[in-house]
Amino acid sequence: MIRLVDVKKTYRMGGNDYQALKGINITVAKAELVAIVGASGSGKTTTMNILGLLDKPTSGKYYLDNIDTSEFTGDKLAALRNLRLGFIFQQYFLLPKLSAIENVILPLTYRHEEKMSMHDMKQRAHDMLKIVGMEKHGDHRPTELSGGQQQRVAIARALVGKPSIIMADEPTGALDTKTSQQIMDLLKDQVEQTETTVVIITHSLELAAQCQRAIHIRDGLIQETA
Amino acid sequence: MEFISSFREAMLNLLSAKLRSFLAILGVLVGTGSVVALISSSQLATAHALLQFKTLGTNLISLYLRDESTGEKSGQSKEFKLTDVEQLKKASSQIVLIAPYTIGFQSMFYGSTPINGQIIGATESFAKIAKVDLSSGRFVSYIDERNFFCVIGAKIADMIKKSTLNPLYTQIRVGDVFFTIVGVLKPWPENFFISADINNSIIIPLRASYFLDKDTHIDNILMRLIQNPNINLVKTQISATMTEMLPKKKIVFNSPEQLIHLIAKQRQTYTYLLIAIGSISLVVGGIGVMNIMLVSVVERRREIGIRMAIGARQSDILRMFLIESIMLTVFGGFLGVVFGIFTSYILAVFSHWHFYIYGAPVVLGFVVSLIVGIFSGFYPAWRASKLDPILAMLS
Repeated sequence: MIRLVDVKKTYRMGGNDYQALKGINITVAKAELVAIVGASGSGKTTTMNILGLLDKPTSGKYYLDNIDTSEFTGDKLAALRNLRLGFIFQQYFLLPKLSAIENVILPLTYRHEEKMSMHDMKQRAHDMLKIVGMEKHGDHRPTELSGGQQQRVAIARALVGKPSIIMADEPTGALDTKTSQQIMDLLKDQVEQTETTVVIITHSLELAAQCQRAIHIRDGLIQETA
Repeated sequence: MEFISSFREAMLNLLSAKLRSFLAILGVLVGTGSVVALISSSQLATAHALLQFKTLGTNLISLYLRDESTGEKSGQSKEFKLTDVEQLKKASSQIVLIAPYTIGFQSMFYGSTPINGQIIGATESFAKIAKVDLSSGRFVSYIDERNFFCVIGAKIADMIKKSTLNPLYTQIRVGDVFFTIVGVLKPWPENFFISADINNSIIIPLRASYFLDKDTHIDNILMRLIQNPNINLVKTQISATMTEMLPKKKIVFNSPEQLIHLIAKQRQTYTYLLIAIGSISLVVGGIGVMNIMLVSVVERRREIGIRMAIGARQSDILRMFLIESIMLTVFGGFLGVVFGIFTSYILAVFSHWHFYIYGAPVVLGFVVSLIVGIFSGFYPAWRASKLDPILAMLS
């Protein structure tokens, strides 16, 4: 499903090279719930950006569903993100001008390979909101929703394109314990029911403990897999 | 469906920054409005000028006689006489009516009130060709011969009416001679084709003008021709006859066709100039839109990043911003067209012109505002599409 092979990433900062990833190898299977754990500056966010096709490795290979993405650029990466990936962010990143259902529809409007009618898109988005228990809040703007509700809408947005992998960057970082658990349960359900792979990037060991596997990153290298 | 959704989203984005959108629209409105108002007014002015000639008809020709030797007005050489009219008429079968006339100046008084105006010596043909209408009385005719009768223009009539309710059969003193008013003219729409200012004139029998001033000569001749005349042929025929009759005279021809052609040519140059002037304000409006779109791109970096993360391609982002800038300028253009037409309407009302809505400035206004939208929106949209999704989301 996901395979990183000797991936290195070097940034140029203020005239100096900074190696964020020093050659990591990760393999994640289908329907696996995996946590990538690390402290600030460990390289976990860089790993997430590369896994999420938002950034490219300086060297090494990234296979997504056995497709070598290393040579892909711009629009091809965008299409691949749209088709195969779903994102959940710590700050939710919903568009404040759009209603909850419009936010959920958004990825479908960028799906050029599979054109859907607005009616079908709305129906699909409604179904996703129902899965996350937000079907009654479709017309609400993000500012009218609580943090937990916004994250549920963000999960619905990540699911609407029926991706094979969901990348979740600190998905419970801004939520209280109870809501955090609800969100985690939702993600676990998705893994079980739809066989979606979920990769959670977190610094929380508690959260990592709820995953099937945790990959620890430190100073740009993988320390251990538990 | 996709278009409606893009349109709706662009509306949402524009409405979320109302003041900024309003200012961008205002810039384009002023620019497009100027172009439309200037071109539209120029066309109305031209139409007004052309209407003057069209009212009289295009089957006219006027002759202006000068001494060939000096180029000065008639002097020592043989002059055109009223008795020459018949011979001149034979010059071409296309001539229907001939109206020779004189223009002179003398001190004029109504009672003790001085009157400023021209004295036109004319025959009854003059009224037919110049299309002067009477509000009361009659026009001078061949029966009057050298009698001291006159017809007064509308402005002189207005002046006289301040002291007398009915000027008919009262008298105007011209030099030492009293002329009895036998007719009052309706206001005559001014016309460059006829050099006399009829509203500010008294019209007397042509022969009587000789009596007033012995040096008076017929320097102007108006002619009505058949419908759809061959103007060039008539000119040649008249030139031949006139050279025979008055060898030392130089004839200057004038025809509505000639003047219409001249006006049309001038208008073209004038319109180009106006377009250039209007375009400057439109360019300024376009720069305003570009500036506002650039600010919008900076402010919406996170949104752009999120859209890219969930799969928007560069072309999607480019299109989104382009639609917004085009919507701004087309809406501004629409208001500009309305504003421009309204301005030209106001101008037409105050200038007593007929008002028409011309298609060209309207279409031009829309097309140009669309082009401005594409040009001013493209660079900000291109910059937005080139943003790095990670950096954009973190901003």
